Amino acid sequence: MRDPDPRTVQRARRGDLLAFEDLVREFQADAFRFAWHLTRDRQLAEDVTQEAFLRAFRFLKGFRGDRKFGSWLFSIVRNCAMDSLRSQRRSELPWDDQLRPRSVADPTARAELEAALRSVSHEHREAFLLVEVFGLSYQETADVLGVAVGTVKSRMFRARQALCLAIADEEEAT
Amino acid sequence: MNCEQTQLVFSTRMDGERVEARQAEAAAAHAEGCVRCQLFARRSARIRSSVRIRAAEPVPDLIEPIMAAVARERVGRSSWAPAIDGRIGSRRAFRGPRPRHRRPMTLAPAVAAAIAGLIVGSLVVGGPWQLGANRPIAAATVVRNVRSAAPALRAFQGTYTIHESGLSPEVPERTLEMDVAFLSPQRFRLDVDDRTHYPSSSWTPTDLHFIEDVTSSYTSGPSGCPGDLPEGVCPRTRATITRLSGYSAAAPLPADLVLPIATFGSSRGFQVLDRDRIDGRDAVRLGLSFERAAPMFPFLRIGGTWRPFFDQDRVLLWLDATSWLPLRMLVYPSPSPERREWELRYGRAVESPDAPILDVRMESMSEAPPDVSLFRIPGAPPPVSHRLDDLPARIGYAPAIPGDAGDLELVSIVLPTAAAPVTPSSLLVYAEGLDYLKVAERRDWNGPGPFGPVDEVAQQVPLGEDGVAYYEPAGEGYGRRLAIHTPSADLFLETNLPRERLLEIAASLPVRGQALPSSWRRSGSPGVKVERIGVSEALATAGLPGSLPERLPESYVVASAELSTVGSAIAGVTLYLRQPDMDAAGEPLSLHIERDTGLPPPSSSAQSRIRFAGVEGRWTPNRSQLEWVDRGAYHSLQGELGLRALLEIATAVVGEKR
Repeated sequence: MRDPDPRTVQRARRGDLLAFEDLVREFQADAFRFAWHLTRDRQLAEDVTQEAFLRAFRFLKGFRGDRKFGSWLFSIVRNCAMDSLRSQRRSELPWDDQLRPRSVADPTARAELEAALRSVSHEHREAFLLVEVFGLSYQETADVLGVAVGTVKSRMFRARQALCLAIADEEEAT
Repeated sequence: MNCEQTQLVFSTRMDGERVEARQAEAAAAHAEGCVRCQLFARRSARIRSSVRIRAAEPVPDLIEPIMAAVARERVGRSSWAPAIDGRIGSRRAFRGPRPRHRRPMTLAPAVAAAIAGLIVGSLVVGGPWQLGANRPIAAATVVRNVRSAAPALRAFQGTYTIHESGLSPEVPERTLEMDVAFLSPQRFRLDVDDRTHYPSSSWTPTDLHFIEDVTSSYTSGPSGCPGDLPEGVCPRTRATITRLSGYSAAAPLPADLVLPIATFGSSRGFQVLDRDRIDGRDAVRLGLSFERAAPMFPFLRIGGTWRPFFDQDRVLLWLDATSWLPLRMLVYPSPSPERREWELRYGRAVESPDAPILDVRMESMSEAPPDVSLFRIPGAPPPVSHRLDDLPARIGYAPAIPGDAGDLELVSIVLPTAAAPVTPSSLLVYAEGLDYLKVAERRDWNGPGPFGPVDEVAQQVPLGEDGVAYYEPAGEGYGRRLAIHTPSADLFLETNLPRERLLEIAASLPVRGQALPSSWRRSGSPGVKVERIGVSEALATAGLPGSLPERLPESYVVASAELSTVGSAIAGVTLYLRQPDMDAAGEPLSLHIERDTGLPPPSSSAQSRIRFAGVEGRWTPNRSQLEWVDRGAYHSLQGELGLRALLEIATAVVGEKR
């Protein structure tokens, strides 16, 4: 995930709505995707994305530049998603087949991966998504999840182990 | 090393994180004879390749509802200066200043060897271009000529072809046509017409429209949208924005496509390569980084979908040797190892440094005035014109008017229709050709910082015989800026004129600028107080000689300084370094000094030790931070600059202390 032009962030911190709109334009797709991965509910993901940007605007002046803007925003998205799921009293995250990603570039590979991801715990899946899908570094992922870098490292490793195992099962089955 | 440890090393390395060379070697040795670990590596790579085929959840466009909610939220809130409670937490970290400005695309090094390679590379590799033997003119001459052409340009119309490579595997090449028009004073229009044949109708063509009419602007075009989404997922967003004051342009003016005045505001950071002929015209060929040339590509920021560029990609630019208009711009991938890491990190194909990835070419141009109707903003109310004589009756005071505005003419007077805490009470816009000057005034400004988008750490400069003002170089979407504080009014000036000219015009205002009130210069958080102090006082407190500011390399000066105290004890001094003649220089560098005998514990996985000028230091690339301890004082030098330049400055600081 690319970091925005720091000047845009600074302008937005000063209350420049056009600069903030630039940030929304640049990050809304990633924020929505992340929200969708967390909630697996399209409407909920839209609400979470909107709420997250509103909170981001509210707290932007306190945004510490020692983190990437993207990871800071993702941590807000995650908090909003958790709040939203809690308010709906969903303890287990849904995994709705109908909402499966629709990429057609390599359907077989994607279906395998979808199946494999189901075998990974929520904690590990979260770290895996941030690093593999959204391209965050361990430090950035740690910032989003509020855990130590070493924890991200081990969660990534465990996620890969579980995914490799799931893929191995499928390799044997075919 | 066992399987578990080996696979952990593989996993960590795959993610571009640092692994000790010793561990990497041991893991490789183990895996050589281990089928399980080989399978782990192979399957992990397969998982990665299926993940990297970007998941295509339909993404809604939420800009309008979000911005509507934000606008409601913002009623009654500041639109310029950050609130005081946001300052200490975000900018004044106790142990050294926060990384104010991280490099957007710099990546954590993949392995220890790569880190060493980067450091050595950045020290020994110079600019990417070999200077032509027939170097025709000095860089300063280019700057002077571009500058002197600006006020004379009254109108411009140009058509361009844009060829872009590498958007995605499905759309490897794109062709777009662009029209640019300018009419003095301060009216611009840019239209992009996407002529690409896309593989399916699910791709949203990048058709854009941008209009700037003195202080109002209009942008229309699709928001960024990955190309693999189904039809209808990315509707065109259409945002009409009419602003009372044109201080902040989210979409940059296309002025530099007409004449590169912002790009060549200073003679640093580019090279004159040779003379050339292009389309039958005599041209001068220049080389500069993509980051430095950014104002020349305004269309990339207006909207639509464009391929990404690396800050250090190389731009070749042909300027007409007579009119100094840009004729062609070619962008090549940088050959640096950082570029390779960037590609790897973002799953992009490796690109050859020899094949251009963007080609913007002027097809035709004319200085005939375009029709005025071209700059009419759809849906905007007709502009209200005011007369200077009417202002005292309308707003209760006569705005300060520069006695010497040179050839600039007053082209617009803007008064806010609704009171807002931080908008000016009046705004005068002066222009001549492409040159402009805005003078904003506010009668009841209560701080805490300077009025207008001028940083609290901006350089204090003398103004007139005994006045002072606060200067900020161009950047952040603004021109060169000056804030003036007086007991009765606060003024803010913004211009694309040179710094000296801005100061001359400001000195001709009928006001005497004063230092900001001391209560505005203090901030703090529980336990720590931060106060802006004089540069010489700061140097003395930090044990640095007063001669330091004259001896810094690259024309850096100590622009301003802050003192942090805990209770009655001095906790540290922060010096802000700037190049006053360098525009678009971004944030100032900060040099934080405090009494200590050792470096703090490691704070990043990508840190490396470094020895220079007889001291041991530490380099943290992802924060662009160089730290060292010298004579019982901890130093942290930080800013958006390569290691080589930071080392030069650090060496000067160490040398001055001896």
